[in-house]
Amino acid sequence: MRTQALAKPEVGDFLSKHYIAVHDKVGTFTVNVASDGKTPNRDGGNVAAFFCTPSGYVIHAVAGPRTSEAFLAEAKWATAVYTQILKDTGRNSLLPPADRISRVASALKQAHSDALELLNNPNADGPAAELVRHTPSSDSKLKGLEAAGRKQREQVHRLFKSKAFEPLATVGPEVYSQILGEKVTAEHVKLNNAPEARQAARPPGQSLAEFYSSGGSAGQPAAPLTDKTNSSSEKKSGTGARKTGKR
Amino acid sequence: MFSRLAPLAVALAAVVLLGGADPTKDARSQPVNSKPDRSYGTTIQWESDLHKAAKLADRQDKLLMVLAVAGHFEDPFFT
Repeated sequence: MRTQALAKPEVGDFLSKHYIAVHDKVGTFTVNVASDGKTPNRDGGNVAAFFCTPSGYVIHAVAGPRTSEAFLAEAKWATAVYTQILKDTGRNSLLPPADRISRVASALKQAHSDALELLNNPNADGPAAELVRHTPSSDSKLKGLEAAGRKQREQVHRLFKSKAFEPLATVGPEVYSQILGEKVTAEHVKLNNAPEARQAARPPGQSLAEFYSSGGSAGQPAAPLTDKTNSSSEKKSGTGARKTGKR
Repeated sequence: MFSRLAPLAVALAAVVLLGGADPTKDARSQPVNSKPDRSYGTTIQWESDLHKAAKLADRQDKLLMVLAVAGHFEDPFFT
């Protein structure tokens, strides 16, 4: 996600205009270091973007990595649909807040239902159809990512048909665990076959990328062979690696 | 973690429907503070605190995008 969708200026422009972006660690993954003691291979982990109100009610979620085209279409869809719902329900209505929240939730659930229909029925038409059936990336290498993203989008619309506009604390774990198959946990990233002594000797401030690119040796005396994955220094500087460019 | 946003639903429950977070407004005209770069290889500036981000979104009449990741987002090698 970081190197694909979130690196594109058009995505940044749109998100910066309409959203405050915040990152949150909700899961973990394992880094298996190869027998050479240097090559890190990542196993597990995933990403989800939740478009919410400032009070934490979830409008839409992008579960899993996307192409920039797909991510932007979903971000625009969430924004357009929510904006329209706010207009339709009337921001200055004298209805009690609970009733207004209920109306917004109902309309949003219907929007997810409509989007699901648009995805599954090529003849269907509806609001913001072009943001549901977006123009895919022209890069043929990203066909697999487009297909996987479409499937995950379908799963989110199906879930949100009944659970849109619920608090992130409620629906977030469902998306992360049920759709992405990931465990919600505060556990730190696990290192298997990691040269702990070398890790411990990594100079403060040196990223793991720099550490491995320099041969996985910090050139300092090795620290005792203890598990450093939960230490405060690891929390600060990070101790993991990627297997693919998935994020 | 997701649960850290739970109190927000209570504290700011009615804010969004009572005048906050209108994404149709262009908030780019807001004054920009000189802050350190927090883009982490993306084209977006990131907050790291959910409550601060929520308050910021409310104040700037924006929505909130929470990126739930498995690792530490600040380190490109670690997410």
